[in-house]
Amino acid sequence: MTLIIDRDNPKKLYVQLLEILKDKIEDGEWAVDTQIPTEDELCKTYEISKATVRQAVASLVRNGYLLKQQGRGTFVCKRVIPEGLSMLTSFRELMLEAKVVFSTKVLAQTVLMPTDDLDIKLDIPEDTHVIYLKRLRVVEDEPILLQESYLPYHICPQLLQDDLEENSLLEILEDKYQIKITKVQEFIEIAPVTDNEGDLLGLQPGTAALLLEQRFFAGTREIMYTRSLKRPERFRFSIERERKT
Amino acid sequence: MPDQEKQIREIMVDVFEFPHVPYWFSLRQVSGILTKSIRGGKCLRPAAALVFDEKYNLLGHLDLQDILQAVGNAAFTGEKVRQDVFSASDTETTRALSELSERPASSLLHQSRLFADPEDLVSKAAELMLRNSLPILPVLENQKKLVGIVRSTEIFEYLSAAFFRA
Repeated sequence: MTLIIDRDNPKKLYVQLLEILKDKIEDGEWAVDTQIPTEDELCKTYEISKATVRQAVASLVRNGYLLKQQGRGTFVCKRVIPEGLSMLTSFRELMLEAKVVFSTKVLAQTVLMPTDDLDIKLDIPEDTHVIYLKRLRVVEDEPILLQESYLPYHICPQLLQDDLEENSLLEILEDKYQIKITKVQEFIEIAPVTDNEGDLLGLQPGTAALLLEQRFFAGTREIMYTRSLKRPERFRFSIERERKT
Repeated sequence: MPDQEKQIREIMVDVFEFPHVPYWFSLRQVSGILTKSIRGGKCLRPAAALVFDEKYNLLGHLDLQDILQAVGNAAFTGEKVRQDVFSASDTETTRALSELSERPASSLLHQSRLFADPEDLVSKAAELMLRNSLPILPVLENQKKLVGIVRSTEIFEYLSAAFFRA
């Protein structure tokens, strides 16, 4: 763990400070809601300029580690999971990357028939049997994500026996069933949670949550439709746009 | 009885010939599924849905007759024969039907308590089904995995052959 700024280190000073502060948060030395030292104190402790401190703190704010409160100071916040749009990354990968303690509880792993417009969303005949998975994702003992996934049964019937608490669904599809997801279509909106969803997510019924609907494709074939309800304060989506020159 | 009696695995139908529903589906959803199944021409007799729990354990089945009976109980109350029970203006009936439609499948299902093994002889399934008035009998492999369904249709076909020979 880096504890001091090393001026002989080729890494930029603000990156070194950022790593020091990030370690303090991830190791729990600075708990959630802890006010971090002021800019002046950090300058003095690490013998660096205010500009360097500001750059490091701004980066931690952007990445969901710190929260600046006007007139009060900068505080350690509950981890926000930074998520890019259309990234083919599993929840497990995201959590491991963010070094967050997490678990998955499988609430349902069964078979049903499509109702309402599920057959349209999955692009299947309405009499097709569908595997239904309902998983609750818990981070730092707090439920943050409720995920319901639907896959045509005939694509991977053995999925009913797979351990989805310890393994990533996307990895199982890819490694065990050789189904390579090549495209994800995503829709994001704000949606109120139902009584049952609120119970599971620890939210009052009717509270607004982030609803992410995803359609997963392997080539032109649709493989899976997923509906994810996320606690809004624990996720932040990022979109990167590039101008073609 | 035929000379060489068949095993259940030879006459059972695949479980995926029947619609699957979880116990929390509303009767409205189950009715929709059965209607699609009938209209699509793929529906087996009896027109029934198999009801499962969260871990894909079979809990029982729900057939058209169960839903019809429940609708009848909700709509045809009192002694007088009424003409307008399904009209939107009949608020009492409309309310009763609306409440019924939101009840879960578990509220009407026939619990599966009797099962057959694929290696059992057809006569065993026939006896179980006739003694207990079962329209369908689930078939479990190793007392665990649901592999098929025996219907009264198969039992009738099988036994009628012996009946006519007698």
